[in-house]
Amino acid sequence: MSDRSIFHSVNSVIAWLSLAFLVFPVLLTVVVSFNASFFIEFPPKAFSLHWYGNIGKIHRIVDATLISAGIAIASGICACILAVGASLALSRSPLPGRAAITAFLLSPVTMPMVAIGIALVQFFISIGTAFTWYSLMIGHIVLVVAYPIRTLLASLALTNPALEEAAESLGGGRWTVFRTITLPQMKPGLVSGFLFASLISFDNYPISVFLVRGGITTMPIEIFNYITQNLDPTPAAFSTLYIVVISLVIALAEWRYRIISHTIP
Amino acid sequence: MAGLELEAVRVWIGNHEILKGVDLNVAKGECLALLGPSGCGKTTTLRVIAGFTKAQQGQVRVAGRNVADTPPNKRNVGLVFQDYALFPHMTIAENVGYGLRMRGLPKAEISVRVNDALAMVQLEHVAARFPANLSGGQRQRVALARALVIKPDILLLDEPLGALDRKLRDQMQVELKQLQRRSGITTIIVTHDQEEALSLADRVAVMFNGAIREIGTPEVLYETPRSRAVMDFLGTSNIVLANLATPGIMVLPNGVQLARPQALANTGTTATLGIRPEHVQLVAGAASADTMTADLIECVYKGGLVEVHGRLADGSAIQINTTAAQAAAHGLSSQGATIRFRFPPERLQILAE
Amino acid sequence: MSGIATPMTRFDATDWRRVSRGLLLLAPLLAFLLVFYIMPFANMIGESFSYWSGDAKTGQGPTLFQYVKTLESARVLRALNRTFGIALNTVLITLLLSYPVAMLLLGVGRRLRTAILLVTFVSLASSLIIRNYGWVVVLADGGAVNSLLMALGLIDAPIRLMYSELAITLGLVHYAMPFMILPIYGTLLRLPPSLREASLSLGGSEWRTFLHVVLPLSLPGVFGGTMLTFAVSMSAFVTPLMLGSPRTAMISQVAAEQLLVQLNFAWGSAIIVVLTVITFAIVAIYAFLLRKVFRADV
Repeated sequence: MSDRSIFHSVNSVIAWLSLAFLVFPVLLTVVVSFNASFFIEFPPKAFSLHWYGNIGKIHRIVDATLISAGIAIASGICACILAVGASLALSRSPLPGRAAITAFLLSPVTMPMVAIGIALVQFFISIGTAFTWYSLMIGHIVLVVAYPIRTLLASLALTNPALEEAAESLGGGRWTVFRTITLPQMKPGLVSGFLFASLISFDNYPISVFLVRGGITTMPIEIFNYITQNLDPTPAAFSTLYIVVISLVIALAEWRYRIISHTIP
Repeated sequence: MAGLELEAVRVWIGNHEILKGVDLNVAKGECLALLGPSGCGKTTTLRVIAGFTKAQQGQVRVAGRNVADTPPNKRNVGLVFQDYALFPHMTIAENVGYGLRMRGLPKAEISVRVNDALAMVQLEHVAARFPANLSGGQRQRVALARALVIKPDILLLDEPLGALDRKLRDQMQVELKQLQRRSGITTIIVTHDQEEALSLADRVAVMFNGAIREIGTPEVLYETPRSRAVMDFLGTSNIVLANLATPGIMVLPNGVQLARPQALANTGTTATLGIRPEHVQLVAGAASADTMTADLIECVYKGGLVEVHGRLADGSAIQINTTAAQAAAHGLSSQGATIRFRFPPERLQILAE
Repeated sequence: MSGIATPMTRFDATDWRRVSRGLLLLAPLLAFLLVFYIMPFANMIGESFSYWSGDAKTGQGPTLFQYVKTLESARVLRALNRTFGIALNTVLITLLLSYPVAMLLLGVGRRLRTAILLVTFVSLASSLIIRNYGWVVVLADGGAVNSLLMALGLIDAPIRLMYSELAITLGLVHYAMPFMILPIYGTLLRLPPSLREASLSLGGSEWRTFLHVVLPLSLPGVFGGTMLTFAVSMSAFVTPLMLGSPRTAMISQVAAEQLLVQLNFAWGSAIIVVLTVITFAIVAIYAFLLRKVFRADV
């Protein structure tokens, strides 16, 4: 047997085990969500949809989910708008220190989220706008703006500036050229950037938990609170629904916009 | 002992038959070019020899050894890739010495052989540099040194001159040929450039559609090809259909009658003939029975030669290559002039389709 | 405009126009980040240099008191040590699990590849709280692991797996895997296949080809993945909160406790600053080592 098979067989085994590791907890959560019993147990002795009905009992879950969704979409849109200009500037203009500026703009990703949350809550308290929906949104934008920048830079790296020059030489004004030539090419980067920004905002806990109080709450906060205060598998039912929806959204985005190929760095 | 033998090699990729029965016999030390358009299977053939593609049928023997079940890293073939494939994270010396390291040779010996190999391509002075700091021509020579230093049984070159500019290409053609002669290693060159094949190889095998159409020395293939496809591929040609209805003679489309050669004594109703532009003779003075005429469309001056493009009465095109002086002498300077020419019968090739 | 190419040592009019246009496009985001990112952080750093929060405004001079307190606090040092240990383990395990997946992706057909990538992306996109809850399900006393071990007769009573460093590490590995798989896959994808074939044709075995050619050239992707994994693990908050206990507190939790519970903004800020500085310092040293010692292109 050629050694290609041995090496690649060993690699495949480890790889499939790793993928199983990745999928395992999710699969188990789905199984548990249909378990009639109150406690988590394996294997499930009886099946029931009871816990799906119980989702509504999670404290303020509807409010929280709507707020999270609203903030997510709004943050995503704002982040994309801010990112478009920045990424165009970084990829088209001969700015000095481009690498440093890019590193700075992408830094919120590697900054401890707790740091961002704490710094911002102190700041908002000092200017008197703490615990409002817009300060929450601002916190989320700071966190997520790096993602559209990254995907847009990747998209723009694939484009050819000569196309824009050709359009200008054919008489197109700068806005028209942008609208008809540059923007369509940026679309995959925009879509995947928006998707990532929104998903990360929707899911965020460490920043939100510092920035909310009283009237405002977010889905992750309510789910987290439920998990720490209750033992029943209602969160499993919620997780299953969540994962199904996310999978559909991502599958749709991939089928329509091919976002996967655009986020591989 | 033959350098390389391929016997009835057939390769399928998926449902697609890529190689439809390739037979090849290359002598030890010979340089053979596999020439053909893209998709003809020449690269697949190379990969079969190297071991990256498996032949589902047929035999592959390198230096007499059957290598069908030998993995590529045990075949002792030297490969020069189209993109040179130099390891970017290693110095030139480390690149060239890689194969020797893989064979477990002692460091001292590796060092000596690497130096010799680099000296052979006149690149000893770049041993400590990295591939990114070398020019295209230098990288190619390093790739050659790396393939030769392991003393392979067979050397495989994939489009060796394709990435080089004109001047460098002409220079490398000479150097490559000398290197190959001196090393005496059986060499296979894969290319789609007929000039590269004709200038580098001892023999050329022209491939179309997964099979070798014709094989022979460059002169034989260029001057006396047996098929229309090969004649067309190896340079410009004028193709003429001759009518054989009347015994003893051939009738060309413009009515001119020529004596029928012995080879066509009995065959069919039509024959395909070809003649190279440089072999068409311009006729001055009185016309004879086999003189033909055409209208001049364009004279293209190419420095060493002039291409005379004309149109015959029946609309077909003719190209005649001649010198500038000759063209002027025959009055072929302005459009609309009449070209008078003949086909010397010994230069007419009878072609199979 | 002269047709002769000028060296880029000085800008001419066209360049200045392009630069100014670029600055204009960049301005909104930079302004936004200046107000809502740099200033809050500067504020927080200022806090860390004071005895009590608000000192900076009352004009009390900067002091290293909080930092001294940090370095003297047994609790903080233990937490830092524990955090660093968990982060290191996480990076190692994640790398060992993710690299083979990246290599597998190269070798499989398009359909399977898209399916695996979709799974990776869904994992990436799923809420962290939901993913950690999945680990609760797996590691709970009545969960999958314990049930399996008991069914196999290996144990009589459930072992306590939850609320431990092990649980935290598993959760972090699970979180970080997509961050490791994608950069490595991206780098491997861009390696010309002829490099691998060149190594084989020169006599290298598959394993040696991997060791001498593929692995060194994949270091940029490995660096990206490990750096991200390390940074994320060092600053982990939700995962240790859900899967750990007060005894296994990681540094972010200690800082948050000071800030939210003790309301000691000054010390809390100092702890965060120390965490951030340590993380960035380690990443910088790591990049330097890779560049100088391994000649990697990171």
